[in-house]
Amino acid sequence: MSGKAILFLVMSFSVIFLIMGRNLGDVSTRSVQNSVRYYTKTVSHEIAVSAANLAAAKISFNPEWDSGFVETSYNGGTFETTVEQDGERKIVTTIGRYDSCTSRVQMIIAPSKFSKYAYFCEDEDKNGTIYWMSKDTCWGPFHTQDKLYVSGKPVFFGRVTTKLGVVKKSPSDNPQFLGGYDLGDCPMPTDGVSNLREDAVNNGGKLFNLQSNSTTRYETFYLTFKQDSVYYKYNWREKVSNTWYDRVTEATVKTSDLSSNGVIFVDATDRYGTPIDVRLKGTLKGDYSIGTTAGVWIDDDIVYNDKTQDMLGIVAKGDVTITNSTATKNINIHGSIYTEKGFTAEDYDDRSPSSCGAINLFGGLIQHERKPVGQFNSSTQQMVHGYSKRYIYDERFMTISPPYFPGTNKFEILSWYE
Amino acid sequence: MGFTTLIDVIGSMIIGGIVMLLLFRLNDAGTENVYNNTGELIAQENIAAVVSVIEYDFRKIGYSSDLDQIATVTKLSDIILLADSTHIRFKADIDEDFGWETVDYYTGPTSELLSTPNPRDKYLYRVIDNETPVRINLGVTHFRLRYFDGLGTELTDYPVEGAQRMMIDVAVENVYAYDPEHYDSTQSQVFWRQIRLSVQNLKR
Repeated sequence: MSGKAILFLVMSFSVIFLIMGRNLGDVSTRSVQNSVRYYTKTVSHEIAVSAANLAAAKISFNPEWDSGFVETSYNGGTFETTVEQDGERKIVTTIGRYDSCTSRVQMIIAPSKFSKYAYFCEDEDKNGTIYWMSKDTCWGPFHTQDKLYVSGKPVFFGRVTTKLGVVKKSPSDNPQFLGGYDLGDCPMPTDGVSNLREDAVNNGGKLFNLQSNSTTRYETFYLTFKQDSVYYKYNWREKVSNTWYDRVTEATVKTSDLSSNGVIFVDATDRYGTPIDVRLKGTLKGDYSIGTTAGVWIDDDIVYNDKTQDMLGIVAKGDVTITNSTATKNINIHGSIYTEKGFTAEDYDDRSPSSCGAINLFGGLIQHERKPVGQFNSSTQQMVHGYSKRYIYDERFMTISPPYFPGTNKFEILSWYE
Repeated sequence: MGFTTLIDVIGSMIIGGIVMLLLFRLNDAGTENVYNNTGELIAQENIAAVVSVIEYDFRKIGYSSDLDQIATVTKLSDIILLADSTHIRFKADIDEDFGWETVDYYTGPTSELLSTPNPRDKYLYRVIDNETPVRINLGVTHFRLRYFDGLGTELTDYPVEGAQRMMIDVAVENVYAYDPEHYDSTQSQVFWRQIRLSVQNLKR
């Protein structure tokens, strides 16, 4: 009797432990399944992200690339990528697959224009190291192909990218990158100005092609905007029967009649073959890009008739310089300035701050080399010579640009879905 | 015979009793083991569920199916409206309806969730456009956000501005422990960390 009871007892507990063992095994299995499910999902997502980055790299090297990737093995899974053209935009869709999981990443990219920058500079210290200091504030996207020199606590509201990093004057300096910071490479092209000239010739723009020769000598070129008209004038000399005569060509025309695509380009040389600068001022109505193979002198305010409607690009091979005159006190400049040299002020180091006032730039500044427009005492932070700066970014340049404004030859991500 | 039999019976009862006690203890230990393992499994499944929701939403920070809307973003504070250590508010087109939603994530106090024996768990709130908060009660005991600027420096002056990358920590525990009296010593925790989450939609 007792033997049967013991047997019954042992069998009962055996059953109980078998059930427990099974439950424990089941728990382990479900735990592993749960872990594998998350792992599978994560890997498929990472494959899709990697494929998007691979596609972005392909487009970076070859902007025409649109063949995508057919099903390609990668990291134990597969991906495929399609590229659709939507006007200037490209829609890149990647599908990552791993085991039973599928993930999708979609990015929309578009060619990037230099006008999107509030500030761009290729060479920060060619004319001596110029620091961004505590009182400096930059709104909008910022890029330098050089080092970014900072002292104190300058504030950058837009996204900042540099090619060579950030140099702090002292370890306690603390630049405020409120729009984020990253390393980036975006060299200034050598054909930015010449491309604009082509657009003036080929796409309905206006090209002033004034090349001096043995019988004709061109001099200064003036361009003054008067709302929806533009006044242009250039002095020149003509040799007739061994005698030089002074000539003046001038006209006021409706700007849209002068240039249907919005590009006005001046390619003029003097008797020595030196490019002739353009002297610019006025009030602009419409969207225009002014280009020149020389420099641009800003003789007086160059402003929009309507800040929400009008748009100006100044594209110069040479310096863009603010003229030393009473008219340029507290100068107002509306537009995005692109210069393959620098932006500066005439005699900035010999003019009192009171005679200069401030540069009120509403737009952006893209320059090859950073040049001074004023000088200040670093200990008192007071201006000593030249202009103080009030640069305000025109946020419309984030999405639109003046006509045929130079491109960066790169694409930018407009949207990233994952 | 009478005395010997009595000794046998008493001896067998003692031995049988000891065996029974051993078996009951074994049963108890086995049950506890199964309970705890199941609890850990539930915690693991819960954290996977929580993380799936977080990943889905956080990866869309700044995204909008309306490109013109994205173009209006010029700085991080346009889309990350509030960045605290346990509370974040950002804009994202969660439902792809050509418009941003304002998304909030934050945790409530532990005192708010007294219906479970676990003294550390709390609600994780997900709020879309200031609508009625959705309370996630999956045993979240820890939800921490850390922010970094572009140079990799941690921003600790909450609420922070200019955060470009973030780190997300989530810990989940079983809400019903086998032995609630000894929660700290017996309770295992499932932990998930997103080491680096960057805001893709501001990379222009």
